[in-house]
Amino acid sequence: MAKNESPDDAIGKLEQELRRGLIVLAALSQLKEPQYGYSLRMTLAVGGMNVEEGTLYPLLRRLEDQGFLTSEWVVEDGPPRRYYRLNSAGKKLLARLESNWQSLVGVMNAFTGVETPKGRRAAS
Amino acid sequence: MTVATDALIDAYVADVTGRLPRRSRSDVAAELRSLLTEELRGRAGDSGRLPDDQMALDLVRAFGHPSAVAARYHPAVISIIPPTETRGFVWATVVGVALQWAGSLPLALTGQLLPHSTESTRLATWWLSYGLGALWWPGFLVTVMMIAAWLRRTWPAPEKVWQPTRANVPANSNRGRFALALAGAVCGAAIWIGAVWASLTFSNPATRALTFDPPFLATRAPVVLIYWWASIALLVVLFIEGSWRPLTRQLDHALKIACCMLLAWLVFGGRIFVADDADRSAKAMLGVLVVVILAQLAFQIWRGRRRTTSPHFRSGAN
Repeated sequence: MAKNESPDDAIGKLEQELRRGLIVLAALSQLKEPQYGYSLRMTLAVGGMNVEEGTLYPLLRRLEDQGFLTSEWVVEDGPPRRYYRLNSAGKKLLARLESNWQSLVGVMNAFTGVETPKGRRAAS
Repeated sequence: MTVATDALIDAYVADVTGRLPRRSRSDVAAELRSLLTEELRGRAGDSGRLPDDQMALDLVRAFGHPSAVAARYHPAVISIIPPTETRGFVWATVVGVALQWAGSLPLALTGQLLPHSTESTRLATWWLSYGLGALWWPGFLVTVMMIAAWLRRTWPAPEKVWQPTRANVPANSNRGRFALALAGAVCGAAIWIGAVWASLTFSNPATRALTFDPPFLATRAPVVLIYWWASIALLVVLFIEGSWRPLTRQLDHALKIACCMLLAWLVFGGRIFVADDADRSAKAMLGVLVVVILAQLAFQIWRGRRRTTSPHFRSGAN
């Protein structure tokens, strides 16, 4: 914990860090079909994952720079919008992250003692 | 969406993208502008009212301080020199070293700085002393950046709240400044006319020392007055309108260029005052004024330059 940082601030930051990794997986999972930034944020929010716009939009750019997304400007009936979608590298990344996520869920359930879907205690 | 909310979003986007590498600015600017506009419409729809300035300001503040947002567009790396400060660092380094070389090299080559070296060895001696010695500056800057990085890490600064500046948002709050400038210009014109009148009317040591040269009064002085009235006319228009617009900005630039040409004519076109001392002093001051006006003009053009361009749009669906 940095100096001059209250426990509440520290907890907030740790929660943010926990969610930050999940945002990538959540965003990728919704980009099998093309979406622009605002529509993706709304989709995630409706699904129960509120992501700050200041976090999501730069993330999309970074994922594109890293070669996992492709994008293009599209003009439909409204203003020009930049649509993103998974490319082949992004699909591989998504599959890998989903696999990691399933594994992590199991591990974390075991660590935290959460009941698994089969009704067994994951860890004593 | 109003002109003011558009301007505020544009100003915010410019502040963010100004901190990004040049190659990605235009694209990020267009996307960010589009997304913020959409967000604003979404917020307005949720609250059941039209978008207003406060709503737009709340939105961009929630989005984050431009420096923080710009940093999110860069890959997350720990660096002594933050990506958004790299350009400034490079500029400071180059300018600092160049100034030292520009100051020391002519003096060294003319023998004033290295009096013991011979003419044939002055350049080599300069390079091995002042030339390479100037490189202390980049080392000093890196040390400062290291200390700054350590301070940031140890005592993080509280999050800054972004404020639109007068430079990047059209506002009606410049009227006071225009009024002051107008008053200054009118007073200046009055003093100028009064000085000419006094030198022609009275004859005492003070007016004799500042007696204008008759050919100056016949040819160049009327042009000065014409320029002055043109400047006052522009200030009256600015005062009435309350803020700059492209046309008035262009007129201001044209007047500044005309002013420099006029001042150069005053300096090099013959005497201004009959007395030598007064003439020399006046021309020296006018020379400094030309440099100040040119610097101001260059700064205004640099500030007002178009930083981003529209990206390539494709029509139709995906």
